[in-house]
This record gives sequence, C-alpha cells and structure tokens, in this order.
Amino acid sequence: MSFNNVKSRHTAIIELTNSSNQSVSVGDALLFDTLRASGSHGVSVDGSGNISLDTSKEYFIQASFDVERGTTSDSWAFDFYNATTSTVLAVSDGAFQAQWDAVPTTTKTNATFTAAYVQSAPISSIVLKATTMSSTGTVTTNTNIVIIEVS
Amino acid sequence: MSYRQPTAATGVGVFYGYRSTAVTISTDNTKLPMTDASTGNTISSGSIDFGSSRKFFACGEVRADSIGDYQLGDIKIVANDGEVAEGYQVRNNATGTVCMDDACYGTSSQSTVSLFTGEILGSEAITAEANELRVTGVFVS
Repeated sequence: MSFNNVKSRHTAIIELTNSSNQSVSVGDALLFDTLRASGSHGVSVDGSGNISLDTSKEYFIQASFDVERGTTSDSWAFDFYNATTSTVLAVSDGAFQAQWDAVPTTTKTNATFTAAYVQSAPISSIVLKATTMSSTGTVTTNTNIVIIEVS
Repeated sequence: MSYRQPTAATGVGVFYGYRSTAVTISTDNTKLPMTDASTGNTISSGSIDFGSSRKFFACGEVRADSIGDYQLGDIKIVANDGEVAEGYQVRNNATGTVCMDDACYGTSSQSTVSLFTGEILGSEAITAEANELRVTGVFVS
C-alpha cells in the first residue's frame, strides 16, 4: 500500500568562482578554478571553463557578473554555449543572456545582469562565453556561477 | 494497492518561462505576458501555469530598450492570488547617476507566476520595449 507518494530527491548547491581577475575579449570563455558544494554532485569544470553536467539530473544555473569595462562606452554580453558543439544556447533551450548596453545620453536601457541555464534535460557540457565585449575588459573575482542540482 | 497518487508533478524540480517577441511597456501594474514555458508547464494568459499549486523560488529578469527618453521602473513577480513576491528590478540609467539593476526574486506557493510592471519611472506617455522577459525557478514541492 502506498499513500501520497512523493519521492525524495537529493539536491546540491554548487558555486563556481575564479581566484583571479580574467582579461576577457569577445569570444573568450570565462574560467573558474574554485568549486564549492553543499554535498555530493555531478558537476565539474576544466581549465578551459567547460562545465560538465550530469544529464540524468536537473539544473538551475545562474551566473552573476562583475565587469570592469575597457572604456566607459563599452557594452558587454555573456551567453551559455554548448561546449561540445560551440553553439550558443537559445531561450528555447532554457538559456538566457546577461547583457549590458552602453547607451547615448538620451537613452536609458534596462539590462539583464544574470545569465541562466535552467533545464530538466540538460546537455552534458556548457561553457560561458563573452558574446559582446566592445574592447578587452576584466571579469573580476566577484563573478560567480551558482548551480542548484536536483537528482 | 495505492491510494491518493499524485495527479500532477510534485517534488523538487526546475522551470522557466519567457517571451519570444518584444512587448511594449507603457503603464504601471501591467502584466508582461510570457509566451513559452518549460516542458511540463504551460502559458495561461501570459503567466506560467504549473497545473497545480507548487512551492517555488523564482527569479524574474527584464531587459528593455527605451523608445525616447524612458526609464523602466520596478518589475515584480506576481502569483495567481495577487500576492506580490518580494523583489524588484529597478532602472538602469547607464548615463546618469543611477546605475543600479537587479533581478526580482521571490517565493510563493501558487499555481501560476508572472511578471508585472511596478511603479514606472518617467513619463507614462512614453513607452519602452522589453526585448527579453524571463522567469526561472526551482520547485520546492
């Protein structure tokens, strides 16, 4: 006999950071050399910034950025990519861009300061790349990725 | 024998919703309708519809371009009972003294979630265009 069945699912929180500032130009992958986690998980990151995921699990991934722009008129954007195919992930994949637009004095825009990848059927490897960087900028150590992994 | 089997997905999981085309923002307290949702969820009247009440954490983001000299104000997450989840997204005036932006974050226990404009800054006669609109989240139960 069973009653009101709800299956318990292990959940882990993982944080990726980089211990030093990174000089970044358009097309560059963001690097993360430090991984902290609340418990066992299926995430790993290599020296090229490729983040491996366990395709049997669900992921809520959110990246926050701290960027020192090369000049005050520079814009920036970061997107999640499929690390295997080097193709940018779309909103229909559950991937969302972070974008800051430098604008003329008469225009005011509202940016998205977080990039996200949310997927119940994830791909095996993702990487975060600069898709816009007007001139070489610095991604500081305050930048991080927080991952919630549901088994 | 089984008894009271769940009829809808329950438990921990992830979800998202977004809008695939731009939408004009012109008035306070107006829903910013989404058009697409993650597998297992639907869009109902511009809101993500979970099909049953769920406990969740949600994060909303809006990226907007001005049409004329316009400042986008607060954005808030609203669940289906009218409850306003905490958190605001405020203007980003990249050229002035105010340069501040945050996503809106909130928790609730409802069957739908949507994004609304809050109090709009600047003239309501001038509109902005949201070219990215999204809610991402995690179900707790």
